[in-house]
Amino acid sequence: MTRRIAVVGTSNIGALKYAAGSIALDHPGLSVTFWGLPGGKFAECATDPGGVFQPLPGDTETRKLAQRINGADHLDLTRFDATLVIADTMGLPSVLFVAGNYDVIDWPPRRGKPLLSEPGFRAAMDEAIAARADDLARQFRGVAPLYLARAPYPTTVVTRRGKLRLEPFASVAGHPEAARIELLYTEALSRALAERKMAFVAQPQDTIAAPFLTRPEFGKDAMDFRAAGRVLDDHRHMNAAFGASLFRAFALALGPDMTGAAPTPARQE
Amino acid sequence: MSVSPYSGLPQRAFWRGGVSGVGALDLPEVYHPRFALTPETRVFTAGSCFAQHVGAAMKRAGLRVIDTEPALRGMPPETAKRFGYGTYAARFGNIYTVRQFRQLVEEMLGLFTPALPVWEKSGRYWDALRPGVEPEGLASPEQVMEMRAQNLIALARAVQDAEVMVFTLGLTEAWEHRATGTVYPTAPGTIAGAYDPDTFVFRNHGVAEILEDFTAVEEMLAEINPDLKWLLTVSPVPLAATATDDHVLTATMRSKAVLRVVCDMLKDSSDRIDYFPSYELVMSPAHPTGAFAEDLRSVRPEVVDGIMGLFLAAHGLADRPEGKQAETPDPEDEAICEDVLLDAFRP
Repeated sequence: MTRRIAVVGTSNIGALKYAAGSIALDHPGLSVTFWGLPGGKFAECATDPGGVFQPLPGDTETRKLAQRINGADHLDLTRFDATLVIADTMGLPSVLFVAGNYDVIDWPPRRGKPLLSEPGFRAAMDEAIAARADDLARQFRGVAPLYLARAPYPTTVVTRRGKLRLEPFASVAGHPEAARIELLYTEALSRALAERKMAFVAQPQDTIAAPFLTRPEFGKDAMDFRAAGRVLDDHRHMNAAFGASLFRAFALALGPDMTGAAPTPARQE
Repeated sequence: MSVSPYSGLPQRAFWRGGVSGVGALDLPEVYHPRFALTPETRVFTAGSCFAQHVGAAMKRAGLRVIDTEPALRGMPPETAKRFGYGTYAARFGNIYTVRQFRQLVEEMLGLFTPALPVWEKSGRYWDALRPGVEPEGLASPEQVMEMRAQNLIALARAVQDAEVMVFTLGLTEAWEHRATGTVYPTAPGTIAGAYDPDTFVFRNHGVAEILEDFTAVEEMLAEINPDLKWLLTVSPVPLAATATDDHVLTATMRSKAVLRVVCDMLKDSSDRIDYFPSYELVMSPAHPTGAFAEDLRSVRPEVVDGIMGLFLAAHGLADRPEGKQAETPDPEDEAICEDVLLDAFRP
């Protein structure tokens, strides 16, 4: 029996959309539909009482844009067995700014920054995440089962200044407690989503170079989700190899009952 | 017609027309600033929890309210508030008594070492001198002292930078370390620590003691910052509980009366000290539905706004200066007061 999967989200669905071929080979029991809008427009969309995910009523421009990108200006999520949302950064920039601006007193390193207690750090993290998790819960009210992957970490190529500037990800690279912060953040995000009846799909370990940074090869030849062939190479959006890896992680989260088979081993892209 | 010394006095001198018959906060004559606050004035705020409203209103009006331990980029607003960031000139928490302020300044100057500065509860540790700024406590006494050292450095920077100290006097009742005289902002055993009558003793400060404490603070800070001016006000927030033998109502009135007298005596003593009548404006019987919320303790937000509007208008600051980034008032904004926790000990 073929299960129907909706992948909806921001521009970051491009990685999965362009991996559609390999996803189909890896998961023959799944039929996948993609629907996305640029971040700001996506954030304005919501599910109506009938389960249809769509732009704001009366926003004809966004409907036209959705139609152009996706071939449909809405997506009826009741027709799917599961929905994967590719969201934004889920409060992570705030968390990383706090991590960069303070020394957490409970952790050994002292970098000469103002001191913050670990409860203070955790509270800041929880608040930053909760704001976004609440938004998503409102957007996808009534949709189940609902899975969420956050926007990928940028690649190690991003810098603190210049064209590929992406603070605070670039500056966190040298943070002595980056691994601990990543673990705390992942736990906090998973918890926040679970409280709102969403399951978190973490970025696959095979794509991660260091905490909060993606291996650079996954940023190479990433294409604009709106138009195949338009290469971005901005190292914030990822390529099809990343998309295939992320979908494998999602399929694992779905479980064999949903996918119809044990997950296949990672294919050579 | 006979001549009376009251003949020709302005409307503000008469209760009828001065208070009755006009809006509760429609009293432009109630406050004549002794010195000006301008958008450039560097203001240091401290005091009891009502002082949080004072500081917030000044920030919204675009004044240069000093904050030497600000919430840095990324810190969300609720967390910042809960952990005492952005509330006062530094993260020293509520200062309920003038004695508490005195010992804080003395500690900053290395003249005083508080007794029992760390209080424990369930394996976590609190700064006994500012227990509210870490609601979950810290992991060790050493962490408490490391954080405290940072706070004292920030306090020193704030004091050096200040032009006007805005201090809200809140309480006269305090718990003191019997052997050393160290006072604490909360009773031992309320947030953390444990009450031991052999160690702690209750004090209810009187006019003379408070005057002496204030004078000491003023003199110490004048050594650092000779041009410093003071703007005093008395918190209208009643006591959550009293440790005297009196009823909490009479204890509240006694406490506020003492503080009010102190303010008047201090104002009369120096051109550098002014008084703003927050207390009177809240306690005025002219509020048609009362100035307090249902708990008869929290001042209703619209009354706070009205009082602070009156204060700012007197300084010509009612309107936000152009080009200044003013904060938006938060209707849900409530001051964080540790003393409300005493309510949990009711019979």
